[in-house]
Amino acid sequence: MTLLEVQDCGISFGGLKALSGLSFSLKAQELMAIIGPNGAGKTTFFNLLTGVYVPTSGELRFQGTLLNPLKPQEINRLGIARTFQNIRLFPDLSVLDNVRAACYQRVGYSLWDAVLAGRKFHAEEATLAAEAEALLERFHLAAHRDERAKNLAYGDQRRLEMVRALATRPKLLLLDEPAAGMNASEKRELIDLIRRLHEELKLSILLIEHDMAVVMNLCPRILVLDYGVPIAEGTPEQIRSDPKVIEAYLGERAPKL
Amino acid sequence: MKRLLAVLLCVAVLLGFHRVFNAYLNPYYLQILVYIGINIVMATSLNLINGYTGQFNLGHAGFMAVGAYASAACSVYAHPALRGLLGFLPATALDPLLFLVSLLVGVCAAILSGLAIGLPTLRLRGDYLAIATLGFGEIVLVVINNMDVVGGARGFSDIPGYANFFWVFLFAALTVYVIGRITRTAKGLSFAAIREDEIAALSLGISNTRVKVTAFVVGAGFAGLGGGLYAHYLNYLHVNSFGFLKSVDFVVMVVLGGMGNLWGVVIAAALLTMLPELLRGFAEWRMILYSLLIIVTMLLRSKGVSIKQWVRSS
Repeated sequence: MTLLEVQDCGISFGGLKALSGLSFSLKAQELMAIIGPNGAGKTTFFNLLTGVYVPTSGELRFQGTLLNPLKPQEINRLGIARTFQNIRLFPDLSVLDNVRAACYQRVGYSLWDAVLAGRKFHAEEATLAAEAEALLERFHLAAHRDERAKNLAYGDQRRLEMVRALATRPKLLLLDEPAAGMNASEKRELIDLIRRLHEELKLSILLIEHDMAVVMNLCPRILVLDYGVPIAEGTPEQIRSDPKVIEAYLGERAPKL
Repeated sequence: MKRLLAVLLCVAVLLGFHRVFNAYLNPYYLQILVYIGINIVMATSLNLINGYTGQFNLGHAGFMAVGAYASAACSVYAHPALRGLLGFLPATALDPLLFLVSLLVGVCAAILSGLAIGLPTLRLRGDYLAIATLGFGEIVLVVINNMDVVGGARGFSDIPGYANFFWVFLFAALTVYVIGRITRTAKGLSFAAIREDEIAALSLGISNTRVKVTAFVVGAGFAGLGGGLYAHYLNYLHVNSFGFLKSVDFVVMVVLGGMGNLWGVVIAAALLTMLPELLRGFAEWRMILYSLLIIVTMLLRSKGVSIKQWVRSS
């Protein structure tokens, strides 16, 4: 079953084509990586997919729904959640409140109910809090639940951002450079974590990453972008030996003398 | 059941204080207390907009003016007819009922003005929103100044004096309860989420326009309530009481109390209402002192005054 369908998608800012001619489709429960040198248009693609930018050409469809005209909050409601390259937590809120805030769209009571504080309100509030706590527990953040998000260690902040995205109950999770700035052991943990998300929660995951160890270990399918154009797609083995990819990363082979 | 008891207890305590203060307290001090109550309503409602949601509203006195004049107009023009209609009720029940009707009219008018200013200007950020709301406050004053039915530049007099210590503090308590409650719920955390990171909030399905308009509507509604209380306590209204500097006073309370700090803002509202009275001797220095206070707070404690910390450190 196709979850995400990208057709000839592109965007230009004035004369600059940041991304063009991108087409691929993602099946449900697939795990795929998008790689490419800096400025290749990877994050731009995430921004198109989440409604931050509107594509100037092509179509994006999620479970058949056209994403082009939708606003970010509407796209999230369809079931796409993301993390950001430069972490964007709610820094002054507690760890638990970061996750609770993400339950916004699932809240059934109104602010009136909150003021009147009836039984329905209390029950729902308790359910949401319990859900948030369970998520924190599962991803080993429960010990920090009352700390301010900005005081967490870097790796914990990255994990919290993922937990917060999961609290919106997405079908597709977009991870923008989750391993950035992590040391070797943190990276190993991250790989385990993403694998667990993929297997236990049956999530589809699209991930942007520079770290080849993470990508090659984790993703059965890789898409390579360079200067806003897709140049290769395939399994890690295919990508590793693709001459275009090698050229994009290492430059052209020196001419034989 | 427990909640009902709490409300009854609160009312009983307030009534007790009301009796005692009326009998034994110097009227001058009582008046300051009432102003403290009104300013708690104003500062707490502005705290929702500026503090929790992180929008810069610099026209809060404008919402207050709308509420004050609308409720006063209701009391002056509609009450005689209502009194005729409800003449069968005893006076002890009729007066509070009419007062509540007037307050409700003021709140509704302020909510409408909140929507009117909120919907078109919430695309603006930071300084631009501040300037737009400031403009709104000035427009309100110009309009009122030219409306003869509410006295225009002469001021609006002969407003019945329904409000007193009891009513003012009852509504101050209600304001603090409502705003404290909604900002703590999972749904109400969206106010703080918008302040903390709007892009992240959007990516989590939080609708920024909706949250901001809600903040403006609720904030404006309570400001209208504060205005209604003010009108019926003073018995007289004049546009000069709702000028730009009044809005600045409320912003100072929120900044000094700590943006998004519920009790800090309540304390700051009380302190900053008493301060000018203590400084009667050198009134012209007041604004300088305010500015200095803000600078010092920003340098020392950008999160505002906190009871918890006082308790912990002492």
